[in-house]
Amino acid sequence: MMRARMATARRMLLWGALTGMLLMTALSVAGAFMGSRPAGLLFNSPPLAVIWSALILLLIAALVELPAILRRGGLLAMHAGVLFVIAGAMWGSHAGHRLQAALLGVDKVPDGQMFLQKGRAEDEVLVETPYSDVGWMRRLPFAVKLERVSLEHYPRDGSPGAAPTLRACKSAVVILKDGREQARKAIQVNDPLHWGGYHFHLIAHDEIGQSFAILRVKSDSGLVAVFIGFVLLCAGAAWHFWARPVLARVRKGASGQG
Amino acid sequence: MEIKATIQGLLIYAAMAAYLLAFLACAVRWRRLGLGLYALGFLVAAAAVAYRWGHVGHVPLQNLFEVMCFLGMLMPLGSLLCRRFLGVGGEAADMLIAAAVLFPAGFVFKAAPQMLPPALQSPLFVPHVASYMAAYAILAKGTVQAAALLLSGDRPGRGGLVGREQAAYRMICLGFPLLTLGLVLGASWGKLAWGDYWNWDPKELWSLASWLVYAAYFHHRAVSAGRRPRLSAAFAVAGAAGILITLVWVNFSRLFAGLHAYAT
Repeated sequence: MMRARMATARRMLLWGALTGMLLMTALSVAGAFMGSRPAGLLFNSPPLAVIWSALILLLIAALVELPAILRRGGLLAMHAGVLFVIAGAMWGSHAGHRLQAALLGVDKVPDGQMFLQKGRAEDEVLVETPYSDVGWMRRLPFAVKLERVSLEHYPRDGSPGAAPTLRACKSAVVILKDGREQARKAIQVNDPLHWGGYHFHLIAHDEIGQSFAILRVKSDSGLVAVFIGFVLLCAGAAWHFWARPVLARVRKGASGQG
Repeated sequence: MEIKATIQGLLIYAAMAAYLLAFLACAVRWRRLGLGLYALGFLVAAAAVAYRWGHVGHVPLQNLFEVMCFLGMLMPLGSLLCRRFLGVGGEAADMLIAAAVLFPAGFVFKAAPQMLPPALQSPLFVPHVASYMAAYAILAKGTVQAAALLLSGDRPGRGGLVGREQAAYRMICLGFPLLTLGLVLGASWGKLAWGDYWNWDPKELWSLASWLVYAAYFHHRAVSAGRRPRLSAAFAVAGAAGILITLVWVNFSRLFAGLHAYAT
């Protein structure tokens, strides 16, 4: 009787997982038609927070209840990976930052932009949310100074009137706290600066006078969990779908020979 | 529609012709000739990719023209490896797919070389796109098996090959980790280049939808214990439809303006 109930509960879990996946698929397709910003709004909305939380609970229940997952390292890693990614993403979201402030007293800027003029130190960030067109200014506990912007272009192809194509753009910045230098880096696309719990990404620059740069300031909250999730997801998939069958075949071959 | 009267274009047309002749040879049961032509098509497609690489000076995976050339080159490799190690056949369909993916490269997409913008100058560029392309080539083979199962049911394997359901499953098992890797590498690259690992961009959302459908395929297969193979096959075909939209439609439709516009 007890065993039959457990089997039914496990089947329910699997059907729940399947339903959750199909629901997220439908929402992803709907989001793709809506465009980035409305989709961001949709996936960060309170009803979706409920669905994300339900998915986390479902994953935890699957990890606890389904022996097929627990027995197979690859499946365990994949499911734990998805759990880490969702939990890390929720912790790093705007709502997650409000939760951090309420629970831990950590008051970080979740996401924003800094307009830096050459030679000037700046600590104000224009905070943006997916919920509103209007941003507001907040201060970081340190300042960022733009020292110079340097551009590099590909050689012109010789056609008259052809605009030069940008090859690289670097913005040399210095982090200052209480007037003292803490870090310095030439930030470029694909090579942000990580300091003080934030990533600073170069998103725009002055093409003509090289007098300003715009940085995206992004809190690193939850990022470690997300990347642990990525590693677990990939390693688990490679182990479960590739390595495990190969090892099973090798063992079978070896036992056949023996 | 444009005809490319260049060395690049001629190599693409020659590879397409070899793939189509290979298919016809297999259709009239001249299998050895068909496989020989398929191998020839692969060599010509590889020459087209190598020529492009030399011409643009970077791994040619920047836009849809280059990606389609690359996919056209990968298909024969997939056919060979899948028959040898997984017992999955279907080379004749692979020959048609290889010709079909080269068609837009030969007649639709522009071949003008483009400089790599700063965002694409990343060590993650090649592994991200290459893992997706390998996944697409493998999953295309899986889709053929699933579609055949959907249309005319499962058939037991012959001559050392497995049946359709098992063949589709094996191909999806091979392709799914590559699809996962492509998604994760793209997210990691997005974090470095744009500041966020997920931007709710249409291409990202379609790629997530495709990944979820394949994940649902595995879950359905587990929950039904293999008793509803046609429904599982329908998941596999739906996943392939998602891939097609991710790869092509997102870049061409005005419905989906987003961060991946440079791939057009």
